Amino acid sequence: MNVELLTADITELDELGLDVQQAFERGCKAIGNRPTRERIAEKPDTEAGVAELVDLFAERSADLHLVRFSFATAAPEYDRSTCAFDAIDARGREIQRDVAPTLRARLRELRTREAELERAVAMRGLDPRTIGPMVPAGEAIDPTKRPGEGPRERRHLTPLPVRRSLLSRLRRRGPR
Amino acid sequence: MPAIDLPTADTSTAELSLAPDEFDVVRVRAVAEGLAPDREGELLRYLVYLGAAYLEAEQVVDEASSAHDGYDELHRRFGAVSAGAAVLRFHWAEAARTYADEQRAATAHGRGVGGYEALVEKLEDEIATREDRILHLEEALAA
Repeated sequence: MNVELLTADITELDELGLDVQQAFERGCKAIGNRPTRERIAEKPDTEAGVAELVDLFAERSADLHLVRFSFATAAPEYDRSTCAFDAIDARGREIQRDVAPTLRARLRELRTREAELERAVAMRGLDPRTIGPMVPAGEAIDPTKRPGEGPRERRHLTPLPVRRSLLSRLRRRGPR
Repeated sequence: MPAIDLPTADTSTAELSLAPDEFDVVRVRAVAEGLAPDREGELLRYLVYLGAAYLEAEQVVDEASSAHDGYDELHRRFGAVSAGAAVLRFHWAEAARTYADEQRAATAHGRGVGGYEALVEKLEDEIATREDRILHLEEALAA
């Protein structure tokens, strides 16, 4: 039989001067031969109290180590998830804040230039519709600025008036 | 990750020796007790942790000069592991909840970003087409 433990568990066992097999055998011996209550019931400083605390400590410590194993082995996946989420979030913000507004602005410039050239071509007696390539009808993107795109506009508050000292207030009031 | 002292996820495998029929007896006792986990891998781990804690506690009792000292020391350690387990459970629950939230949000967010990326692609296509047409219009005017 094999058991998977945290490397930190093995280090802790080493520090206590114990090995895995020794601990396992003691654990097997305890199972079924210990009280299953969760709180201290015996009087302190008595033999029964000490024995009870041994059982309670062992159960609570085993529980702590089981939780620690589960949490520690799941933690890398939690970290990966946070990184992946942050990357998606950053990409979304980047597109919304920088990429899309820049492209829309470029499109506005191009349409203006295109319209100017179309007028100039028409004035020469040519039909601008014969000069391509054309964006298929109905597929042109609306290049107007969208709410939420571009850098967030900061709200500017009116600066507070200069705080007057008590002396200046008295001076302002003048002599009575 | 939370600011708790969590060891790295590095694991090692240790071999345990116990006759299969003996282990079956232990498993039956564990089920009857209702405190140990059911699955074999977890049960084996639990038995190692439980045994290590018993040996540690028994060492404390052996080394104590009186029942009072032994009780005091055990009580202190019991308090420490109880608090440690509570803190760890809290952080684990928080991390698991955040993970679930992130998974859900990443799916929704991913769809949104995907939509935006498709829009960027369409904008780039239209820009290329219009730049090309502007060149042709300029050529027509220059001719």
